[in-house]
Amino acid sequence: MNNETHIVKSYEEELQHLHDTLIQMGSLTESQLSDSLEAVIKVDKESTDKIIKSDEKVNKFRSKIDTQIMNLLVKRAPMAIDLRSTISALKISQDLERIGDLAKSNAKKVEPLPLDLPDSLVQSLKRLGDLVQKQLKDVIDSYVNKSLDKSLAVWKGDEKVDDLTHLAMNNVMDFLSKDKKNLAFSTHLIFVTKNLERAGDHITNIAESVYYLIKGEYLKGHRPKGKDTSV
Amino acid sequence: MKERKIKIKTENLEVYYGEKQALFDVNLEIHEKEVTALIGPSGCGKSTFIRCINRMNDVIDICKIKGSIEIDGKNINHKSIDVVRLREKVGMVFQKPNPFPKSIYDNIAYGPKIHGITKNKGELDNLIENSLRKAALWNEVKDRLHEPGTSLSGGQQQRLCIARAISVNPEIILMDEPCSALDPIATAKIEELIDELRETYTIIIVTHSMAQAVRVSQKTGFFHLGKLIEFGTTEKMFKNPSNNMTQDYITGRFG
Repeated sequence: MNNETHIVKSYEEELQHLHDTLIQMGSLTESQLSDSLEAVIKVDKESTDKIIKSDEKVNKFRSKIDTQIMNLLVKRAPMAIDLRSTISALKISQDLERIGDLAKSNAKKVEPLPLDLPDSLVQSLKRLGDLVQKQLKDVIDSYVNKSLDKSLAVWKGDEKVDDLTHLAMNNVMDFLSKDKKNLAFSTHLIFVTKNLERAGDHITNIAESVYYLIKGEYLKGHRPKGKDTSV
Repeated sequence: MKERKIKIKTENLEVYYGEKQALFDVNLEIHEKEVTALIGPSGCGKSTFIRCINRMNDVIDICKIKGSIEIDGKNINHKSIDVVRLREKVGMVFQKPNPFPKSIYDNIAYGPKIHGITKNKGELDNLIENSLRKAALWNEVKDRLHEPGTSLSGGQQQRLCIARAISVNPEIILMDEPCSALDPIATAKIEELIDELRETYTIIIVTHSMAQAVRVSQKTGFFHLGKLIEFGTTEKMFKNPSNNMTQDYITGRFG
């Protein structure tokens, strides 16, 4: 990485501003994901409105970043590390926005859930959700600290997300097969599980963007894949 | 990218202007029918480098050259090399369009006449038309061939200079900031032309515009204080250069 600063101060400031905005967006997305998970686990129907409304803020960050990037491309025609920073920020912000959408979608699933969710279901969802949250935190850290090792660890970690998704999915299916009355809310839990798994995929995308930003090369090889989670 | 035949090769090239050393140990291979862009801050040696390739430095008394420069495997500084023939093979286009104070026609006829390339007026007429066509200027000047070259616009004059360079069937064309005095439309026309000329000629272009280097070249070399700091494919140089100094220069961080 480079410690020299640009001759043109405003260029330096614009890149720094983009970097800061992306970190703010990342941190808001982290809260969205963790709040929505908590709402599901605790079947906290009070908190969901706030989460759903907050998604607007995530979307606003995305358009703010889009505008900043357009301006950088037009004004500065960035090269080398600056080009990679700009393009990575564009891609990362898209993935963060999608993670925000998935968190919102999970918050919306809380309303129809019964207050007495069986503990085994809650635990398997919590394990998956905690891992996805950790992955998101780690990938944002890897971006902030420009850590190649950390981005790689997150990328590899998606395999575990797939495995936990598989487990959580099986638990929901078991529960569903026991009593047809469980059908309605089990379906919602299937979506919640799937949404967490898809958030994991977006986190893997971000890990790839961070890797490219640092190294200037695309990550080679197949994505790590755990147990098949397709429903 | 397919590696093409090596057209120009320098080994341990060093250039001195009197006491001052302008190039240090430059080792470079330039491939046939590719555009190579040379970038670097003013005074870094990129123009000195291209002036070695057609021995333009010969006219400077205090200039001394060490090391070797080969074109097609032959040392161009060897005693047996006829410098007039060398310059027939290696054409040059300068920063400021410099047509002769003659007609458009005579600007191009001059070289072929000196080198005895054509036998009669018919052949010469054909050669002039072909050169102007290759330089994408024919349609604009075909009805005014006997007007002065200097009556053309800047961009047209630069294409006239390119036509003049092409007229003696060179193999290599050196361009020293050919677009720095031109507006964006004239620049676009020259860049389009460079893209076409690449099918026939080996081109080296010195440019201060990073964007231009990216657009027109396949390889890029970065010079700093007389040294070749990095050389490689243009794509790699501008997306992910290996050297921090290259990165600082192309991103505008140079102190």
